[in-house]
Amino acid sequence: MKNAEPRSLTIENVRLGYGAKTIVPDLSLEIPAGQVTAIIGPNGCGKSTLLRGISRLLKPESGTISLDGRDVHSYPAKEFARRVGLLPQSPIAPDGITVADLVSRGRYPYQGLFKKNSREDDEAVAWALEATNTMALAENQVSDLSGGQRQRVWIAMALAQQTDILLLDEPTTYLDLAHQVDLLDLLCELNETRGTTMVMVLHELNLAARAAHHLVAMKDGQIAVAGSAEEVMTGENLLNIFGLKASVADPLGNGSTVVVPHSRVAKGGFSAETADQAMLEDVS
Amino acid sequence: MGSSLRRHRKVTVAVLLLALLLLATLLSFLLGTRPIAPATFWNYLTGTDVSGMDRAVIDQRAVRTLWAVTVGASLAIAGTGMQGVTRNPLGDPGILGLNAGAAFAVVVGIVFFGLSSPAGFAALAFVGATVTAVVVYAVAAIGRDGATPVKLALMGAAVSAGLLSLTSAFLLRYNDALDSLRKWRQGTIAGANMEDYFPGIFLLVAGALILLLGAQSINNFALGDDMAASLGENVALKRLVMFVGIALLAGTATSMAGPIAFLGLMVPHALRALVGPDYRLLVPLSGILGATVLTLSDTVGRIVLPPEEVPVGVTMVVLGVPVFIFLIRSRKTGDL
Repeated sequence: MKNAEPRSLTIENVRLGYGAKTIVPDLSLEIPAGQVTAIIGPNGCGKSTLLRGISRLLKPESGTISLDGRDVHSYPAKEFARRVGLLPQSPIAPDGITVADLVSRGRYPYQGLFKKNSREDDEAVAWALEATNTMALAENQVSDLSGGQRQRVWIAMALAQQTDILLLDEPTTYLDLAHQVDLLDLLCELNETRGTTMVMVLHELNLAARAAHHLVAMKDGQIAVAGSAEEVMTGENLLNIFGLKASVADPLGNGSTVVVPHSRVAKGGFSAETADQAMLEDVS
Repeated sequence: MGSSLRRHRKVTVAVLLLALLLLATLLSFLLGTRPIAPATFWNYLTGTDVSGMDRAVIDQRAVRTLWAVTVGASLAIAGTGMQGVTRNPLGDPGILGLNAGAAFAVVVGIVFFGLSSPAGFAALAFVGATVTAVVVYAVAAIGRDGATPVKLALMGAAVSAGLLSLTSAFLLRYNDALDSLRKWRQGTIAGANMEDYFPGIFLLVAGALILLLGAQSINNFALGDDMAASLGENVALKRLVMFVGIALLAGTATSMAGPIAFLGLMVPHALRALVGPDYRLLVPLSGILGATVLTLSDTVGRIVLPPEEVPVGVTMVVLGVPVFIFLIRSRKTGDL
């Protein structure tokens, strides 16, 4: 399958909101091409709003979001859809649809009124099913699948769209831990093999730190801190961004950080005192 | 992959539906207060030796069958489009207030302008349906998300309720209007004629083409507005265009045959159970099935209570409900 092209995605002084309610007052950000970027932050901080802005679902009130130096809103809809794909938080699968049919709907941006299913479309769908390990499910109905399988199928649909950039809004929500890890591994593999630039909103900090090359932490519609996992995942930052007291450890000693939140209820040694102690050591 | 099997099944369903339509058309020619022998019909087709009386009956039935096929196909396609565009399994032209708008306009015509001709009813019904459609869409489009499926359905229901109670108020006050309206409201194509066919058919063809060509956009709507937009669909524009197609079909069909309920609801659900949720199949096949159901219902209506005719709107529902319930009970029918 054709590799993704590295495309620059630049957000400049963007203001995003809904009517009178401004969610993101003034935000600038450069999304590194060919890498995995995870956006983290507390509920209501504007993560999803930012993703909606990038994917053109929400037009900025001021500022510009540009793809390859060109305002995203100046692209024809289908041309944009061949470059940037989105997996929304809760997509709807029509009842009775089969996996193969759903995945093939990702080919819409390549089809026209009189240009229907081509060989290229079939190949892209087969590749997407193969890549997400859902080929065996192709003839099953989506409604019969488990949560983990279903999410893989949605990823397959997004892959069939063959975009250079893929935006994902909380792709691991409603999955158990094993399936969350599995799904993020799949996305990272795709990033490595195909070079797809990924931007995902994630809630689970440990998984975000594991999966992403680049972490963007948001608070109150602004970027609080951005950088590598080591730079972003510190006790100080977590307290500042989430108001969460936590220790950050590196149990494997290889820079893979693990966040251990403190508990108000004493359990397993993480009472307020021991935890504060641990955090002080960590920060220092 | 088993997709060839599925494709095979879809082709089979399409061929069977076409065969059923042919059969329904044939029966519509043969059955009625004055039955026509198959041999006579054959002679008519081959242009030999048919009595003047038989020829006149067949000529008349040809027009009537053409109406049944046209109106049935239009209402079913409109219903399919409606369910797709509003993402509402109860979608039906009635849900947008089109029927209520048509009935209201006809009552106003009777009460204030002494209207009594079928052609006048048809014209007013069309105006009533389209004005209502425009109002419903315009009000639903207010606000930041535009005309979302939920807002469209709610507005349709609200406008419908308002117009129906106004209609009832007029009918209570003016008894004569009630008599004139009653027949029209049951839905009938007994007065089919070629003069009234022609202006309508162009609007119907335009509406059907819009939905046939837009079927893939309706497929995209089914994935949710966000997903549709990220696939490169211009959601607001396409929804408006599809809505125009639906209004053309439902408004014109209602003006030709009165408000025929249930067909637009039943046909797409029955088809989904047979061929799945792809609107590229559902739209054309619903045209074929809708035409078949209405033609059969009209034929049955001619022969059940001789010498009286039962309006097609009534027979269709009486026949359709049990079949529909059977289908829904026996298969896992999708919502959309």
